[in-house]
Amino acid sequence: MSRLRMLTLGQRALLAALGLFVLLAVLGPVVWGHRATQLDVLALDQGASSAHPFGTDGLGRDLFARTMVATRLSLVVAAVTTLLGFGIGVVAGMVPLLLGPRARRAVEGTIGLLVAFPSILLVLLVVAIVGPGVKGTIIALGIAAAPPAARLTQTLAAAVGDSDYVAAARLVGVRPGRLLRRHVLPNVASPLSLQLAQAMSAALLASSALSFLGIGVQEPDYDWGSLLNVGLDRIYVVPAAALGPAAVIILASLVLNAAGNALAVALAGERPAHGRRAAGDAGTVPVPEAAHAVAGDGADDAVLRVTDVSVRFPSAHGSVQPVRGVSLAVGAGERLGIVGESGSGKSLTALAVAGLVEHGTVEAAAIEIDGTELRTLSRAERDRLLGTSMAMVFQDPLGALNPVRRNGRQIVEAARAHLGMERDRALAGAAARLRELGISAAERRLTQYPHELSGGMRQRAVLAMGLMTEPRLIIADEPTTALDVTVQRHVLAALRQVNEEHGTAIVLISHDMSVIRSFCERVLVMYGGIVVEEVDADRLDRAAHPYTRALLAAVPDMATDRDRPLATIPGRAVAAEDAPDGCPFAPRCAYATDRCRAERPALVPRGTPQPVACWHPQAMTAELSQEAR
Amino acid sequence: MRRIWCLFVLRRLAVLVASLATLVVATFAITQLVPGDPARAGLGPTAAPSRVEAQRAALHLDEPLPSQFGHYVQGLVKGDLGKSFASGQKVTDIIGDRFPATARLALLAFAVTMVVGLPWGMVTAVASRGRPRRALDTAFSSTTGVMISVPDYLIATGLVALFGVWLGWLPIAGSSGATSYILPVLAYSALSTGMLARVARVEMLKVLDQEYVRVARSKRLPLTQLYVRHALPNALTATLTFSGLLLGGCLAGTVVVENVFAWPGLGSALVQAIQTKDYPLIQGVVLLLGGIVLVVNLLVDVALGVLDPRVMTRER
Amino acid sequence: MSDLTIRGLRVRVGVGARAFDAVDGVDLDVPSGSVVGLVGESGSGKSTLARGIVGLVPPRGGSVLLDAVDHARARGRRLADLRRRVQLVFQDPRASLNPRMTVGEAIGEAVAAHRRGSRQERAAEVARLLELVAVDPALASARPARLSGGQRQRIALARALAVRPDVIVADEVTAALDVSVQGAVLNLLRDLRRETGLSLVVISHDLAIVRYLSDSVAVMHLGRVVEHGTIAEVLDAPRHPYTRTLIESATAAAPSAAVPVGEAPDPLHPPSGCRYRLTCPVGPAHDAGRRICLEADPGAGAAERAHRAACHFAPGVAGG
Repeated sequence: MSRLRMLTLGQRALLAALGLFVLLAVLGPVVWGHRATQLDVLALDQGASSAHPFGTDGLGRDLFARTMVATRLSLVVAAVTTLLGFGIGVVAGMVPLLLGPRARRAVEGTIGLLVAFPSILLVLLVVAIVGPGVKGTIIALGIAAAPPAARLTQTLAAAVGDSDYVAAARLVGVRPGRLLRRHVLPNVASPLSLQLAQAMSAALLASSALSFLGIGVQEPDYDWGSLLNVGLDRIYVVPAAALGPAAVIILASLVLNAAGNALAVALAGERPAHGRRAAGDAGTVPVPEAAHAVAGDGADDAVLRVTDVSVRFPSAHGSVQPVRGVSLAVGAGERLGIVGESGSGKSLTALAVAGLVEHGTVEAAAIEIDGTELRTLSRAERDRLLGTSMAMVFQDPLGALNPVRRNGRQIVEAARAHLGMERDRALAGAAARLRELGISAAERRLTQYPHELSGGMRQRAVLAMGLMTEPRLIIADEPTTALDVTVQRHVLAALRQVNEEHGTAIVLISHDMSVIRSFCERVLVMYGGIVVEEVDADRLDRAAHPYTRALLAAVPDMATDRDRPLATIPGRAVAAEDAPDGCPFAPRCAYATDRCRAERPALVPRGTPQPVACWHPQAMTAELSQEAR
Repeated sequence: MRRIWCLFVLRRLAVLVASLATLVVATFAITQLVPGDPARAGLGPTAAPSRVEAQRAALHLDEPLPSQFGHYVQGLVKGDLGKSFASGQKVTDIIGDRFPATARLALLAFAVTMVVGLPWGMVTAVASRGRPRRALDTAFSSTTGVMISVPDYLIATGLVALFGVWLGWLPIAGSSGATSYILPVLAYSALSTGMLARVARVEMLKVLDQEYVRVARSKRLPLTQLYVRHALPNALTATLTFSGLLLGGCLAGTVVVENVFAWPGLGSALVQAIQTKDYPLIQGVVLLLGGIVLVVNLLVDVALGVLDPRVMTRER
Repeated sequence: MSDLTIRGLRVRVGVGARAFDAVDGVDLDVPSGSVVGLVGESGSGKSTLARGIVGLVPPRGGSVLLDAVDHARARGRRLADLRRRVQLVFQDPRASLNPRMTVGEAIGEAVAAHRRGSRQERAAEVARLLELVAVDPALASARPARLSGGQRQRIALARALAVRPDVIVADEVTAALDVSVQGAVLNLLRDLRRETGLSLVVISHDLAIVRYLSDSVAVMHLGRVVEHGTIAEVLDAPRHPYTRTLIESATAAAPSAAVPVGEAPDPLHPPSGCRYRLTCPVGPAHDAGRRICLEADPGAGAAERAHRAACHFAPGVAGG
C-alpha cells in the first residue's frame, strides 16, 4: 500500500478514471438498465437533446443509457479475452524451458511464425469456425492474443533461464520448485504484468471492432462496438449515435492502457532515481587560485593545449560536472597518458577536447591546436583543422567501423573529404598504412567488411584510418581494453611505431596502470573529474598524491610480494554527480583532514617537482611500498 | 559466397513451404471443425434437403478425412476453390473481382506510410539529437500515440463524421473516382504510419549512438555525408524489415476499413461470408490473403540479406 | 577436505554445425587445500571448464574425481553431492544475484538447501557468513541494486561458502570490478583459504592475479592445457611459447619480434597438428623448418616433458 503513495497526481487521476469505469461496469445495468430497454415511440431516431444526450435509436431507446449499460459487456469481454490469451500464451512460452534443444527450437519457431501471421486473419478464421457471438469473440481474440504473449514469455523465460543467478541458485542446491517460484516467476511476471494493461486495452478495441463488423456480439446482447455499428448507419442523421460510442471506446482504451501501466510500475516498486546535488551546482565551480597556471611543459611547441575545460550535463537536480577545470598540454611527438578509474572523467575530457560531447556543454578558457585557438575559427575551418590534425581511436574496434560499408571506403573518407585526395591514390595510401601496421593482404582487407577482420586487426585498421591525414595528435581512449593481452601488446607496439616513425603525439587513456606505465612518457592521474597529479612515467614510484600511490599499490603485477596482502582503497570510485565539495578523494584518503573535505586543492607543485592537487602530498623520498591495510 | 546465398534462400523457402502447408491445413479445417453440418449451416435452415445433399456431395463431406483433404488440395492445385454457398459463383471469380479493390487500397496506404512515416521519424531523430527539444519530442509522441492507439474504424468514423457529414467534402462510400480513396486511405494508413515513424525514429537514434557515427563525427566529415553515408544505411536496414512486415499486414488488414466505407474489396466479402456461413468463400479469401503475407515476409527476409552483409555470416 | 582431479575432460558448446569442444581433453589436479591458477585468454575455454567441473554443462567425456569418485555427468544424489563440495563464483556481479531478492535471502536459501534449521538459525548463519566476507550484516535486507560491485562479489562468495564446499572455483571474479576494490576480493580469497583450508581454482586472463594467489598454474589455449607446474617453475622457466608470450605481455615488455600477428585460430576448425602454430612466435610461421608442428599434436607427448608442456620444442624432463 505504501507503494501506491508514490504515484504522481497524474497517475492517481488515471487510477481514479479506471475505477470509475469499473464502477460503471458494475452499476451500469443496475442504474440504466431499465431506460436502456424502454421504447419511446414518440422519439424515434432523434439527435442529441437534453433528454437524450446521445439521441435515440430506431426503436426510441435512449442511446446514452445503452452506452452506459454496454460498459459491462465490453469490459468483461476484454478482460476475459486477455486472461485467456495470456493464460495460453504464458504456458506455451514456458513449455520450451522444459524441452530439449531441438524441440525447443521447433516450438520457438512455431510461435515466431504465429506472431508474424496477421492476427486479424486468425481471428476471422476462428470466428468462422465457432460462429459469431460472445463465445466466438472471446475464443477468437483469446487465441489471437496468445502468440505475442507466448513470445514475450519465452524471451523472458529464456533470459532468466540462462542467467547467472539461476545457475548459481541451481549450484547451491535450490530445488526446482523454489527456483521456479522465487527466481523465474518474479522476474518474468513483472514485465509481463506491464503488458497486461496494454493487452486488455487492445482486446477492448478488437472486440469492439468485431461487434462493429457485425460478427462479434450478437443481438440481443450489445456492446460498444455494436452500438457503434448501428450508429454509423445513421451518422448522417444522428452523428451523436456514432460519436458517442466511439468516444467512449477511445477513452476506455486509453485509460486502461495508461492506468494499468501506472499501477504495474508502482507495484513493481520502482523508484525514480535520487541524485545528490553536485558540487558547484549553484553555478560555476569555485576555481581555486592558480588553476589557470597551465599544467605541463608550458612549451610553445604544444600540439594540443587545453586550459580549464569543464563539461556540464543537465540532470534531474540541476546539472552535474563530470569534468571540472582540467588543463593539459601535449608536446609534439610526446606520449601522454591519462589514467583513472570509472567516473574519473578521463574519457569525457578527451571527447570534450575533440568537440564530440553531446547533450552537454563544454566550457574552457582555451583549446588550442598547434597554437590556434579553435573558437576563433569558423565552423568549416575548425572541422578541417580537427579532421586533419587529430585522430581518435576508441575502445570498441568493431563498433568503430560501420558494419555495412567496406573497410576501404571508410578508411579513406576523412582524407578525401578534407584533403581532396582522389580515390585510387587514397586507397593505395590506405593499403600502405595497413601493411605498415602489420596487416597482411592489405588490398583484400580494403574490399572486405569490418566483421571479417579480427579484433586486433580491426583496431589497427582504425589506427590506419586515423593516420591517413597524417595527424599531429592521436587520442586513443582505452584502445586495448577489449582485446586479449597478447593482441594488446601488438596494438600498443603499432601505436609506438606510429609515434616514432611519424612523430605523432599520442594521448593514451586507460584504467590499466601497467599499460600506461610502459607506454607513456608523462602521466596525468584523474579522479572525480579533476587532475590530481601530473608525473613523468619513470617517476611514478615517487608519486606524491595518495590516490596515485594507492592505485599503484593496489594493482598486482608480476613483482608484487606474494606474502603480503594487497593494498586496497576503502570505499568506491565516485561518479562526479556524487562528488562532494573539497577534494574528491577525501572520503577514501588515509591522510584526509578537514581542510581536504572543505577546500579543493589546486594542481600546482607543492614542494614536489611536478604539479599535484593535494593538501598533504606524500614525501617524495619515501619509496612506494605495499602499504598495509 | 554463392553457396551461402543458396542455403539462405533455400532455408527461407523451406519455411515458407511449411507455413503455406499449415495454412492450407488450417483453412481446410474450417469445414471440419464447424459444429454441425457446414452445408446446412451455409444454405440456411429452410433450404431443401436435396440441395443440402447436393452441396455435401460437392464438398465431398461424406468421404473419409484424408480423401476430403485430397480433393481440397487437388482443387487448390487446379485453381478451383469451389463455389460460394450464397451466390453459387465460383470463388475464384469472386476473388478476382474483389481483390484489385483491396490491393489498391492496401498498396496506397502502404505508400503513404512509407512516404510520410519514414522521413518523419528519421528527421525527428536527427533534429532532437544534441539539443533535447521538448516541444518537438512531445508533439511527435502524442501525434504518433494517437495514430497508434485509436483503431482504424474509429478514425474512419471520425473522418466520416467530419469530412462526409459535417463538411460534406468527400465521398464516404464505394470506390468511385479518385476522391473516394482519400478517406479510406487516411483512416487505414494512420496506424502503420504512426508505428513506422516511431520505429524509424528509434532506429535512427540507436544508430546515431553507435561508435562508428562518433568516429565519423570525430573525422569532422560534412554533416550530410555523415548522415547519408553512415547513419541512414544502418537505420534503414532495421526499419525496412519492419516496413516489410507492415506491407503484409496492410494487405491482410483492410477488413474493417472496407466495412466502414462500403469498399468492394475482399475484406467486406470475408465479413459477409462469415455472417452467411459461406465456407468456400471464407477458405478462399483466408488462403489468398494469408499466402500473400507469407510470401511478402520471405521477400523482406531476402531483401534484408542483400542489404546487411552480416546476415550472411550468421547463416554460416 | 577433498582432492579434486580432472582427467581428459571434454565439454561441447554450441548447436548443430556450430558446435565444438570448447574444452578438449583437460587434465587438472587440485590437491586438498591448494590454490590452482588457470590462465588463458578469451576463447581458451577456461569459463567452460569451470562450468563443466561443477556440472552446469554436462561434460561430453572425461572424469571429475572427488576423492577418486567420478562426478562427471552425475545425476541425482551424486550431482547434489558434487554441488555441495565444489562451488563456482561467477564473473559478473550484476548478473549473479537475483535482482528481486534480498541478499540475505539469496544466501539463506543456500544455507537452507543443505541444513535443516529454524529461521533464526538460518539468519544467524547468514550474518556469520556476511561477516566472514567483510560485509555489514545489516545489509542482509538490501537488494543487489543498492550494493557496489565489490560488495556483490563478496556476497556471491558468501553464498558459495554457505554450503561449506571443499573447492571454490573463482571465474574471473575481479574482472568486472574497479582496480581499487579488486584487492579486497583477492585478499578475501587468500584469507579464506588460510582460515578454512579451502581449495581454490583461480581463473583469470590476468597472469599477475593468478601469480599472486596460486601455488600452481595451468595455462590454457583453445581448449587444452599447454603447460602446468608450480608458479615458480612456470614463471621463472616457461617451457611453452604461449606461456612465454603471456609472461612478456604481463610484464609489459615490448614484443620480441615486431612481426604481424597471424590469424587467430578458429575454434570450430582448429589447425592441424599444434593448435598454437598460427600465432606461435617460434613456430612454422617464423621458421619454415618446423614442419612437425603442422603434422603432429604436441599434446600427445606432453607427459614426458617438463611442466607437461604441449610443445614439440620444449625440453624433456630428463633433458635441459
